[in-house]
Amino acid sequence: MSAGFGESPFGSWPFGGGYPDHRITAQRIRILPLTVQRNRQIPIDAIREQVPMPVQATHERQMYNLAIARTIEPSPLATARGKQGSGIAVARRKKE
Amino acid sequence: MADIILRGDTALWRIEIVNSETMNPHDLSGCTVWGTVKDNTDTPDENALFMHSITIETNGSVSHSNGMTLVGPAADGVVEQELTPAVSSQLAVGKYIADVQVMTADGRIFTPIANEAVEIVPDITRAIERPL
Repeated sequence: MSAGFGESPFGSWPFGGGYPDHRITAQRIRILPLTVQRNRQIPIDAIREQVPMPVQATHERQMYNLAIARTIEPSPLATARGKQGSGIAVARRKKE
Repeated sequence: MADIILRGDTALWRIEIVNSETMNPHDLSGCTVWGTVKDNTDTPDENALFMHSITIETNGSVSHSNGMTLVGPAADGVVEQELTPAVSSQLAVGKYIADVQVMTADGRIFTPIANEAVEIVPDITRAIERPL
């Protein structure tokens, strides 16, 4: 009696002898214990240099600067009107 | 897809060996396991890029190991293979092939992992020791 794979003249493994089927397979898994999470931080000044300001934003900035100038330095026109107004009122009272 | 190894890095592999019919762990008692990487199939073992092995006696003890360690008891069928920075830093960048061969307790040889592509790629930081 010929023995097939896993069999012997005395019966098939594991009940009557013969050869255990040693066919094996395997998997090889790469172990990567380390990884990183890196968040790139960009300085705020670098962003301003890289991103051009839109036209509207530039206009607003100019208006803001103009408003500051007016607050610091009173308009010479407003001062002059105030002086003229005082002169007219005085003149009318005299006629009456 | 090739297994990428950065030159100078530690490379670790977990090798799980199972019976191909039952998918149960193959008891490594009495077995020898080799893991080999070469530039081509005709290169003799002594000229391999690197070659690791481990022999486990029938009582489950390890009698020989080079780059491989038994993970848990032999009955679990798991070994770990490690390529050290000292070795990997000396490897030439390029493409290679690898296999894992097992000699079972009765002397049979099987190659459950065959012709696996491996690529050594260059690293940027070459240091493998802490600065003084």
